[in-house]
Amino acid sequence: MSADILPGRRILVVEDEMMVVMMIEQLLEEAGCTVTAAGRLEQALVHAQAERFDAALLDVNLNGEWSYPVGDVLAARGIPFVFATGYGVDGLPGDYPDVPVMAKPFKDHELLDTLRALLGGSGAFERDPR
Amino acid sequence: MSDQAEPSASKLKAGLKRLSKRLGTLDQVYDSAPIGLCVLDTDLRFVRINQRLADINGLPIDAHLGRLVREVVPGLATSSEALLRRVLETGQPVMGAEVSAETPAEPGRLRHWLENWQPLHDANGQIIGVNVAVLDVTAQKEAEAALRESEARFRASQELLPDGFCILRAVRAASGEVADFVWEFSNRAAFQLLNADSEDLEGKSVLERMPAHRDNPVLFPRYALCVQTGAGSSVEMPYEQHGEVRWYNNAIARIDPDRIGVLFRDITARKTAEHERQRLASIVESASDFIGVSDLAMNVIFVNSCGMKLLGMESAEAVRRTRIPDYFAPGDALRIETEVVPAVLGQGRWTGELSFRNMKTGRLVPVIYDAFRIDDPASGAPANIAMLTRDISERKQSEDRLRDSERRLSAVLNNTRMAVFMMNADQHCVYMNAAAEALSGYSLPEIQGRVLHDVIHHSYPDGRPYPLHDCPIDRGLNDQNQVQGEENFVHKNGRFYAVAFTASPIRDSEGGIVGTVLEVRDIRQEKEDSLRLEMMIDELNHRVKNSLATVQSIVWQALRSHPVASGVKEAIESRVMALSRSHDLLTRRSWSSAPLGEVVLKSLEPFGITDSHSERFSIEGPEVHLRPNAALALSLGLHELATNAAKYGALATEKGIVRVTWQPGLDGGVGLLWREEGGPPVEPPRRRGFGSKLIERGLAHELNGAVRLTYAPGGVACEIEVPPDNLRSCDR
Repeated sequence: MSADILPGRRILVVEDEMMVVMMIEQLLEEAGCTVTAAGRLEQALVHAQAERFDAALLDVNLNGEWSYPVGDVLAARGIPFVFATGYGVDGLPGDYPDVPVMAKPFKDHELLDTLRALLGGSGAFERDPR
Repeated sequence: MSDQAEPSASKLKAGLKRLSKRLGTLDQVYDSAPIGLCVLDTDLRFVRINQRLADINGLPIDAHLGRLVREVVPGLATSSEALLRRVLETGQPVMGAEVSAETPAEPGRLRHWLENWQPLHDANGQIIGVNVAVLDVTAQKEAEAALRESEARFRASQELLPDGFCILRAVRAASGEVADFVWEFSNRAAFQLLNADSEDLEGKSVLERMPAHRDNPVLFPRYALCVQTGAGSSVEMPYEQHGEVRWYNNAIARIDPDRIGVLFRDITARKTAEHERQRLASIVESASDFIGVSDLAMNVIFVNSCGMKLLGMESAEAVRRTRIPDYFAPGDALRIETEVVPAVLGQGRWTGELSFRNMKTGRLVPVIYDAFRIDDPASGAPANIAMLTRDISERKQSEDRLRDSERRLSAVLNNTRMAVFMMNADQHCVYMNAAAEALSGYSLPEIQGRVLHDVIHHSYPDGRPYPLHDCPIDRGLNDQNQVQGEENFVHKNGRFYAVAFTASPIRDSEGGIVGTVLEVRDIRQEKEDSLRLEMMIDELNHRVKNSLATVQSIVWQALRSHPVASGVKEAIESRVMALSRSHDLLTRRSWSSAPLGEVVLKSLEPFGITDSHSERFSIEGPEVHLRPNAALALSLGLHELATNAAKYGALATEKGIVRVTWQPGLDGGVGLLWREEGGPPVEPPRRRGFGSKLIERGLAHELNGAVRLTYAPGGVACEIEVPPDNLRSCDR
């Protein structure tokens, strides 16, 4: 295995559950990434439009609001991202057939592997079979 | 002439005087002879005349003597003078001359005589006069004329007679018995009736001409009897003629001991009418309807047997003691007098529903009463009232039944909240109930006779036209099957509304489709409800998952801060994950149920099952659906079994496998078996861990069924009883 591609990466984490944000921040920072977290839609949009990121993690439902506008901005800017959802992978609304989806709750290594795949590191990304 | 006549007359007189002296006695004979006698001189003057001839002429003897015939009987002179002169000139006598003239005795009556005229000669042979003998044949001539006239009249009358008439003369055998008859006379009608045309029947044998008479047991013996005894008779008989049967009346009378007259009349028309009348009478008698006739004062003259039975009358006499109103219930009897019969007499007919009352039992019988006036065909004056009446009790009863059933049906149709449309074979709406009117916004008169599809289903919600041939309701009719489905109909106000429909064909008795019944249910509320329910379940699931993610994050961070044995994080995390996965299964079916097969696959996913397949697992069992609690409990139980197998059992080696099988139990539940094979030899654990407790106690408690975990040396086995309470009978 070649050197990990995660260190030094700038990751946008859009998630409204504080405990989950804290876990992800700690996990990614331990992996050498710089994390910008947003818990609300407007906040996330501002970051997505204004800052540079290598990748993003978007919770689909932000306290009752859909995070798709953030996805649209990221896609327009060419920033790869992954959806996280409590709805289960079957019933995900929206029109992002190529965007990977992680079902909450997910394990720590699951998140790291998915981000590595997004950043084109360890081989081609394979979509979660679920 | 007078020179010659003078000596001639005096000579004749002198001669006669001499003769009379000589034949003095003959004078008396001459004068009293029964034939008329006279002597005329050559001037045709009467010289002598006897009393008989003087009487015929009607003048005394003296009025004749010395006078010319012309002077005495002028009418005679014209016809006979010339002939008399010829006798005088030629000397040839004339015998039997027929002379007719009127006489002074009877002016106006033509008299007829036979006369002999003989010349009288003197001694020298010279003609000196005529001796005349006269026989009066007037009576005879008159009788002959009368006979001729009578005969002519007879023939004329016979020719004019429409009936056939023959005179037959008996032909007797040596024994004196009548053996045959021959025709003596037949009139024109007889020719025609006997099909003889102009052929002369006279003198022909009756038996030869008409051989059938020989064997006719009625006619010939009557003819014979009639001619022998004078017994006349009259008989009606059928004859076959030109292939058709005609009836004749055959009347015979004796004319004299050798002759009979036969009069035969074609009575076919009368007979046909009689038969017709008999046929009508039998129809009337055997009719199953009441038929009756009364006079104009409603006195009943006739009622047929069906009518008598209906009204409880025993005999024709009983019928004739009744009046029409007697046949009806009191209220209707009054109507008969005041309304019905006046209408019959005035307008000619009255028809309506009334109630008969049986005069014996008092039972009321509903009838259709049809009364009409019969007018005298000759005068046109009203003559009778005829009544036709049909017992409609049965029809009334079936009408009542029909009305009841209709009432029930419309009570159902008008109170159900299901909209019901009915269409004919052309898809035209012929009926809609109140719910259908409320749902569609249309009333029946607005929609009746129009193609229903074109009114309430003409467009898709996006505005495209919806042609009839694409409509599943129409297709259902064509395929002759009941069709169900969901569609969007268009309200009168233009808005669309979602409906669930069932279209059923209406069939006639031969099975042909004559229409469609369309039941329609408004499912807008249902659609909204189910959408809301879906959203709520999604929201719930989202929150559950977020909670689980939060729990996991807390555990993760706590364990980072306080390092513990490496297995702890995994033990907690994997169980949280297992719980999360089983939630996914239930979410998929809105928390109603989960298929057992999917629960097993989902639980074993972290242990190498991908795309429902793994070489390490053998999973087999029928489709069974678990209630949510059972699915969650079983999912956690299987996760513990698999975790254990991965650590110590079949999944801890390269080749070990796990068999999961289930089958229906006797109690209607399911028995599930977990069996490990090919793992390291098994030793029962010295201490029950959290995992085995979760299986044996937690699962048994949740399912309310026995769970047996056994540590056989060949591999761990676990039998799980899933009682029927945990199952759902069908996939909702």
